[in-house]
Amino acid sequence: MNALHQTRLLPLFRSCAGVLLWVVALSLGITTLAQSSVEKSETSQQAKEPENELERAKAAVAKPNEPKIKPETGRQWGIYSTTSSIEIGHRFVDTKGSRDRYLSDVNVRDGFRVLEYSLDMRARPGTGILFDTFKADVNNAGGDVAQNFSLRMDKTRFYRFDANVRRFNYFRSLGPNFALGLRDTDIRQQVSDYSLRLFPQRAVRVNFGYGRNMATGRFAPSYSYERDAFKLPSQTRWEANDYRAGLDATWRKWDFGFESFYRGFRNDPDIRSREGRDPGYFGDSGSFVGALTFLERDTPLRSRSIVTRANVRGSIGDRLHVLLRGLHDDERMNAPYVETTAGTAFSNARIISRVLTAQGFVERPGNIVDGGVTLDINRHFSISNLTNYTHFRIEGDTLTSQTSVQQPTTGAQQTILTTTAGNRFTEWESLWNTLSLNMTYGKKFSANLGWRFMKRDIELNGLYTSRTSTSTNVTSLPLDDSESINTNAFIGGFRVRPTNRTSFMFDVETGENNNSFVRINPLEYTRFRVRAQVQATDKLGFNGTFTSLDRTNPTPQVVNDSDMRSYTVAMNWEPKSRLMLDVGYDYHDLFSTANISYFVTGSQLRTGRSLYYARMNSVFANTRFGVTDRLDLFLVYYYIMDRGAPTISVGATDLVNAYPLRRHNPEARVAYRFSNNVTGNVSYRHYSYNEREFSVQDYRSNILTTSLRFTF
Amino acid sequence: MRILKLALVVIFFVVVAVPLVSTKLATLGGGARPPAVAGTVNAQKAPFSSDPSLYVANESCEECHTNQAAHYALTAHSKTNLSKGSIDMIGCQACHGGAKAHVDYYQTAARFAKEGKDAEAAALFADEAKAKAASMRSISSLSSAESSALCLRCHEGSQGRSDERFNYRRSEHARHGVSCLDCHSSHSPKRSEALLRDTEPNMCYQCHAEQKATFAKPFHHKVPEGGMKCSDCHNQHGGFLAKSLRNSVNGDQMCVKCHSDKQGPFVYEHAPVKIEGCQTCHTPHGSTNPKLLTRNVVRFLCLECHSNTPGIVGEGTGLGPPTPSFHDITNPRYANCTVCHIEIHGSNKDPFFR
Repeated sequence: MNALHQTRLLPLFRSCAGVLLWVVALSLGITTLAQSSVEKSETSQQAKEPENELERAKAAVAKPNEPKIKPETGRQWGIYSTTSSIEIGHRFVDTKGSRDRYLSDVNVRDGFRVLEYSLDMRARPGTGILFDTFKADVNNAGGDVAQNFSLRMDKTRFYRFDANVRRFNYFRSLGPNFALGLRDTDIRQQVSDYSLRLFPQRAVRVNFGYGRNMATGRFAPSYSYERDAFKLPSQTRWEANDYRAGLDATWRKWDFGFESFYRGFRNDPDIRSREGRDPGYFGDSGSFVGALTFLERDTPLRSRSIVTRANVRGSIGDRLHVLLRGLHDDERMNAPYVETTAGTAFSNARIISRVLTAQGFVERPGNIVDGGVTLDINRHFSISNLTNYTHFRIEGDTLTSQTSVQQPTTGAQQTILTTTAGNRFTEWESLWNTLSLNMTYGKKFSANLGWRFMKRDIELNGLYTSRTSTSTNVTSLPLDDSESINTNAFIGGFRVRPTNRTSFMFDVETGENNNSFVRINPLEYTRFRVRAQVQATDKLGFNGTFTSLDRTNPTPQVVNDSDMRSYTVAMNWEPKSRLMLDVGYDYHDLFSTANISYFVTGSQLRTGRSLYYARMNSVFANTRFGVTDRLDLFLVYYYIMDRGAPTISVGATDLVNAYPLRRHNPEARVAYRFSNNVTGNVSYRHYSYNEREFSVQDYRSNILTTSLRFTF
Repeated sequence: MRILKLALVVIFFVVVAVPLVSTKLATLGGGARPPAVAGTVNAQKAPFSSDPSLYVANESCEECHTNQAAHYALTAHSKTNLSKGSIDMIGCQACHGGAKAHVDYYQTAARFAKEGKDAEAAALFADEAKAKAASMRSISSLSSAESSALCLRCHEGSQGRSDERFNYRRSEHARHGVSCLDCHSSHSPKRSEALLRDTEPNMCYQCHAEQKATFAKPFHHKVPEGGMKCSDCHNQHGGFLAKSLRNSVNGDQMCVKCHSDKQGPFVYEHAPVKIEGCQTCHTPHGSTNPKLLTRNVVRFLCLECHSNTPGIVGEGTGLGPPTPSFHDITNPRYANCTVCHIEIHGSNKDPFFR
């Protein structure tokens, strides 16, 4: 028996010793390694900052004859209470399995990072020469999937300046899942915004702003050519530049605003075919003899938008609050298109040269008027009305001309000219009004009842004609349709706080909403949500939420139903500032069915149902343990598992659509505070991804991040 | 399900009726009126009184409330001290009410203590009426509507971002009893900007815990990575759209602020993009489906509209073209609609988005 115990205990002992050694080695190792935090969890150093912030504030407001107390972190720099920190580190990534899928999901790559940088300078308002507040923040700079740079400066009564730059890395390569398309992408996008407000605390304010949104990188659009599909290795580059200027004014209880906005958009992709002969996605087999030997496409697209906005808000007496906002938008796009190709036609003719030119031009003027009124009937009741009126018109015209010079397998060389002309006119007008009665009874009870009315008129007109030099036929396709419809919905809800520590919330919305599809009947829907929040003690809280959404489209041809249920429970326990447990579980069940018609081999029409299932289990846990005064341990775990479709019997023409998968994502981080100014971090993140039907996309990845954080 | 819906509606009306009935019964029975909420009817602390005789200089507060005053001095609220506006809009007293009675009361007590008049001091503290008259407005004792109304006196206007809080009174948060103080803390914020109680999205997750699970899915907007915030798309202070969604500057859906290449206008716009909205095909928070699509196989997404919609009875000829018969979905060539119909958001040359 002893021997049996020894054989069982020995591996256990070895495992524990191994874990212990690993932790000790990491703790020691951080003295020599640069380290990092993946999650932005608060370390023991950061936990001290609120206390230090008060000390810094006291130092900042101390009168000249008062003794100065030096805070543990940060410093009093002239009139400025200043804190700054920087966290630099390195990520090490190891991936097994589908690296493409890993990059599509996670996209964390090797390399040096500035994981965090922060500079915060604050003086008493009005005392700074150039600024009272200066705050700069950087997060995950150096190649992470999302990077942030922000800057805020202000000088009370003179200006406020905000700048924000975000960079995103998008990677998509989902090769085995052909249904998702051939559009591989590896793109860098940058979204930035700069705004300057002059005289922010005065009666009249002046606003200027500039925003830039751009994307560059590799993308591979698919191209349907001669009945085969081709992947075009290309480069994208588009950018939108926004300029805005406006005035705000305050007069007594009224606020007025006016703003003018200009957006210029340009898209200049570099789209080419692969070098040499491309046989297409389906190769040269069967009927897929189409091939591409040359493609060059020039599509310098330009658009611009001019927006003028004005608003007024104020109160009439103490009880009536009104708001009115108007917006006029004028948009235009000019889209020339020149494409030159050569290759093989599906008829096996050699395409010597094919030039397609197109010129598209479109205008989209629009107007929006929003209004809001709230009347405080008494201290318990108020009645509100919110109205939105939208109108826009889209007028588009395009002409295309294609000249194809080709050499059939037999006979003389041919030149075929194909021209098309098309126009599309869309006029859309909607009114959206919500009337609600709100009740409040002290802190314990609030409720609301409301009615939402929607009216929508849509008119679509257009004509598309096509003519080919080899035929006398002209193909015409009328594009006319219209819809005019009114819908109503009921909204309501209440929130009860029986005690200061408990809150129950319920809200419901039921009725019709015409946002399903164009031209078909409104969608009937019922959504309700129940939420219970219980703060059992000052340190322990629970949250439970149930959400239900049922949608039905009564149109006979469509027969679409969608039922969603979501159950969430979460617990937060934070007995000490450095001991925390935040865990939760969510079950999300979605079932949707829609009648569909489709064709199968031999052009046979089938009528069946599209059944979509998602049965998603999610677990999340976020913990923090302050092991010693200097050492913090963070453990994070995310798990998702979609069970896909249940075992069901379906008709022969029904098509079941589900995506069963699971992913584990545990993470551990050790943070050690060497001093009040230096903290070392080691974090380890693991992903294990598994799909039931596309196992070729499975991957496992290990991400080790090491960093040092300096505060000064 | 129908029974459940009915039960919920009944429960709703019952719960709504309870306070109405109870208040009415209390009035009929001659019951005492509920105690006045500080800052609403109490004359001593009439909330928006600008009578200078009720106020003291703001420096008076610093003498006792040292920590709060030190912290306050570096927050945006202290900018009001430089204001030349009405006295009830400046400093501590803008929120807590006029402090004249409060200061007088405690100065008297301090004088008694200094002069050794302990009995008088004790009597003063024992006088509940005087103590109550001297108490400042406690914001935490106010209802969500009352505390929010206090904040909106200054913040409903265009301070900060233009028209950001114009619609708070009609917002979803206000309707559900969520007040400014549920997210902001004047005296103990965790974030200096906007005096937030916590960082986004953690603060939002405290109520909307289900979204934490949604953002853990493989494809999601970059909220967990810190690249985006909930408030980039939702106006937590109330917008003009359902679910507190923001508009883009030109009134479009918020999506085109970043996805500018989808904004158009296009000669042939795929109707859902502008008319129905991006959420017709995409789910916004997180999904297991690439491109945040509502279906993992694109053809189902398309077929659920396009195999049925043309020729709706009584609705004209219909614009959505029926699927041509050569689209054999068992053939990989036609397995994915967007391989050919690549410009699915809109095209400037082809009505079929090719």
